[in-house]
Amino acid sequence: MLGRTMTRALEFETRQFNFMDVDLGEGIPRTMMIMGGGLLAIWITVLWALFGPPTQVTLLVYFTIPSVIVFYAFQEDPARPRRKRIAGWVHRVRYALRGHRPFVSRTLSKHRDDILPMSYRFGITQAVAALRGRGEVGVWDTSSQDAPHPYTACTPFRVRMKARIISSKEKGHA
Amino acid sequence: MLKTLTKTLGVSKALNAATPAYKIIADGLIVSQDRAQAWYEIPISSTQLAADEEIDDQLLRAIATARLALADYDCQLRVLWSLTDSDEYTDTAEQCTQASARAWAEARGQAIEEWALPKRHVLLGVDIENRATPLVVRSINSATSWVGGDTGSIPAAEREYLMRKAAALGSRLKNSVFNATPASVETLAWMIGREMHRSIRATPKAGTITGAALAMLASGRAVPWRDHIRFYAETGNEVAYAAVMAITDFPEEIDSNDGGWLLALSNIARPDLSDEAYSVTVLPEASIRFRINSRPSAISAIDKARKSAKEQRQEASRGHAEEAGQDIELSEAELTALLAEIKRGNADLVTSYPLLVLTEESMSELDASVDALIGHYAGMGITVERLADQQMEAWLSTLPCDLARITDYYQVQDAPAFFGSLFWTGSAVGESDGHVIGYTTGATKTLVRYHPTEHPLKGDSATSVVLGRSGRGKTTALQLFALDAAAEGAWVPVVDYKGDLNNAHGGLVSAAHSVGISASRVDLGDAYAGTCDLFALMDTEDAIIHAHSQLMLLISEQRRKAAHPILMDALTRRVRNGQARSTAAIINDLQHHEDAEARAVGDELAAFAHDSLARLIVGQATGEATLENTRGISLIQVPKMDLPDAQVPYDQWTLTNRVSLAVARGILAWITTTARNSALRHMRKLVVVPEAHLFTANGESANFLVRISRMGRAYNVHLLLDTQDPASVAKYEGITEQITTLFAFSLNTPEQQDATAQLLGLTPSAYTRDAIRNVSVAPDGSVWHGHCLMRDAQGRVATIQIAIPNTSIAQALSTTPDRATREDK
Repeated sequence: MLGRTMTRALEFETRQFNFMDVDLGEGIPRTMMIMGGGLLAIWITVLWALFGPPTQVTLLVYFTIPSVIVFYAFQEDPARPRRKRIAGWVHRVRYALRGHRPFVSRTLSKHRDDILPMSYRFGITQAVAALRGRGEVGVWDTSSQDAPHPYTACTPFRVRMKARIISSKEKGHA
Repeated sequence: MLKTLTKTLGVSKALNAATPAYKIIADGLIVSQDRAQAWYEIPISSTQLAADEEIDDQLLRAIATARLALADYDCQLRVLWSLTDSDEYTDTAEQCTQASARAWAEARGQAIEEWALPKRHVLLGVDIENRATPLVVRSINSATSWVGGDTGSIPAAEREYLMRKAAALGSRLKNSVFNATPASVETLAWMIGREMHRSIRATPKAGTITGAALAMLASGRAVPWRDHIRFYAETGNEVAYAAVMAITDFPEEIDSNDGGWLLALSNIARPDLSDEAYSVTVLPEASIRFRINSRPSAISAIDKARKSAKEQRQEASRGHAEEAGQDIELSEAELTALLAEIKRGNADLVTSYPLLVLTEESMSELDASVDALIGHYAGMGITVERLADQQMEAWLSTLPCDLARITDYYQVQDAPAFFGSLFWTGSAVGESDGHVIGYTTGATKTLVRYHPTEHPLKGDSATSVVLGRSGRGKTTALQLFALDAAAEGAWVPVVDYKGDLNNAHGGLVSAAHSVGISASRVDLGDAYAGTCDLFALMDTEDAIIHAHSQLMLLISEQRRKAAHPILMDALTRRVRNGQARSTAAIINDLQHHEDAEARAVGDELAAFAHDSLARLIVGQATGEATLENTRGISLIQVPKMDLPDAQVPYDQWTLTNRVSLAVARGILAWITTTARNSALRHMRKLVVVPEAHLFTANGESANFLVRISRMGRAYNVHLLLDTQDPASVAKYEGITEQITTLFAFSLNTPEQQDATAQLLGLTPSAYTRDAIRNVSVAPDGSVWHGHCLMRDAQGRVATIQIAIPNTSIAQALSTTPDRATREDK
């Protein structure tokens, strides 16, 4: 018996074919227009507020490079089917800031002692390992032999509490 | 638009949802702070050799049940693996093993441990109550817990309400192709506890697990890395590495007859990293949250998308673009057609979030397994993606009472595509009790039990047949089943006309003795003279006519007419005088008779005393061995038999034919009389007949088989026979009607294959012929001993491996001539 999957049929990208009576030709993806346009607008506004209007030279920084980045961000990610590149970047940042939290005693822990070091979350350790030629470190960090092992049995610890002698008077004895 | 934007970024509110806070686990129920889920266990429905039409029928029934019972419920399907251990067998082995034969059950148990078979569990969770919304419900629940002073559980009234709701849903799922039953509290505790890879067990109190015990179950430490999760033991050491993957793409069309996409979880292997000559099984687990959309919601979703596609097409046509693009136009056409089908009630939509989880003990093994899994599914046109930077969210969403967190990797399929995963099917055959004879070798590996001596006690027919070419393991299987029955205390006569159940390692009898099973042997040696003498074997009231018919076969054609009254008189005289009964004594009486004719008859019979075969009747019993009707194996080996063919008329029979028939008559009459003995009706009995085609070629022996087969239930007897010629057995309706269990090894000719297919309950076809021809052929082309098709009493058919417990038993039971013996010859 044949069954059908309709996911792709439901997941087509909508495009804007004209904008304020301007024909946009083959159309611009609406998500790129709205989100990318919004981000671009915020970028230009911030730079304008800080450094004033763009010059012939700074136009590159104000507009050209961000536009290229926006265009690139909203392309299909070849490594992640059905996702844009920007989704991968968002997840990467989310992992570094929040998604790394371990599941400890039935909740997601924020305790410093429970979580992976920041250098690892932000890929610094992997980059250094790669520079040192310790194997290829890409998106998949499988070279875990170099990774820190934060939870090891019998790790030495220091008692931070000061000893306090309690006199017999304080204890309530005669 | 906001939904589209969040989807583009791959983020949703669900990503940050709180982790499930469990309140209580009970039979068929898990309740957390936010939701209550009913859980059911779905046993394997064996479909290994089912025809396409049968699979389609199962699929239609599954869809009908799901539409009725599960529409608009949020559900979670879990496919999990555990290891089959011998406890499953040893806990019940005592019931089918005598104390003296415990070593046999232990050998069987040891073999099960060595197999290390993966055991599949399919569990279905259904959200039956939302405890978080509306806010007033959440507030009432929290207040009730606070007032009651027990925030670790739920009020008894609520528990009862939820259990009633779960039971109502369960009754609809039970009476369906799923045959679902509420999952026991122990199973649910195992499902939760195993997630943290710690060896914590919780014992239910009054059928529930709450409070500290529940907290302990779900405690542990799991640290997410970018592409995997590491689990840590109490000591702080890493104990497991897991990777969560999403199924991101399915082919547009899926044919369920190509093998279900969840059934495929059982078929993945990769090279062993320590020795690439070997392969190891990869056992991914699945967690699929799904919802069968109601018709209004399906229509709404499809119509919205259709309108969007239409709008795109119209917008494009107004401008320079003119066309919106092929994917938009195809989408619009497909969605329009789909909408019409949904409105007519011809289609159901299922939205799902399929995730697969792999766990290994090292990173390198995990990476290798992930590659194997992705490659295997790619071969089916299904894309599996290892989720980067979302491992913890994905893993949390596999926990009970959680929710779908990776919402952008959803799938929308029609019901045949979703249920075409065939998650409830697999390979299962055999009985619920008795000894474990082996395991299934299809999509799922399950222990196979076979308990022939129980069939008559259950009021079932009582015949089993083993078919196949020589050298594939038929006779070894027969011997194993004989040992199983004798270990239970059954009477097990084994009639070996071929004479190969004996070898340099001692054969069947030696194997039996080695594990404490009682066994004896009768063969053509001197010590066994007189053991088939019906005059001695039969009870007084039956002895005369049986002995007379046996001895008349030995008398020559010329003397028959005269011998008839002489023998009758001699036999009757002995019985009437209360003298010892034996043919040797009758011969002595006749040789000393005053009548010359009687003396001639006596001399003729006495001449047989030197023949190894006829000696079994006329020889003087030595007292060393007799045919016993007590518990244990009685092996009767008569390899020189040459029974007359049913087509050959009596006057053309040779002397060997007549002597063979007389011996056979003795053996079979003894078996029949013992089987019918009312004093022994309580005793389990298994009559084993290897090479049954030697019997069916002769009318009298064939009639014996039909008689034993038909009277089996009445006299607590099970007939077990093997043959290389299924067609010869198939023509006897008296036997085929009574067959409850069938084992089929390889057969080569199309006629035999078709006859076997019919006996298996399958429709003969090119597929069944192929399956039967190749069942005893290993993937490398060598002979696969012990591998066969089994049809059980319920009509289920699957491939199984009949297993010999250990090498010493295997050596003893081998019917292959030893190399030295072959070379000598």
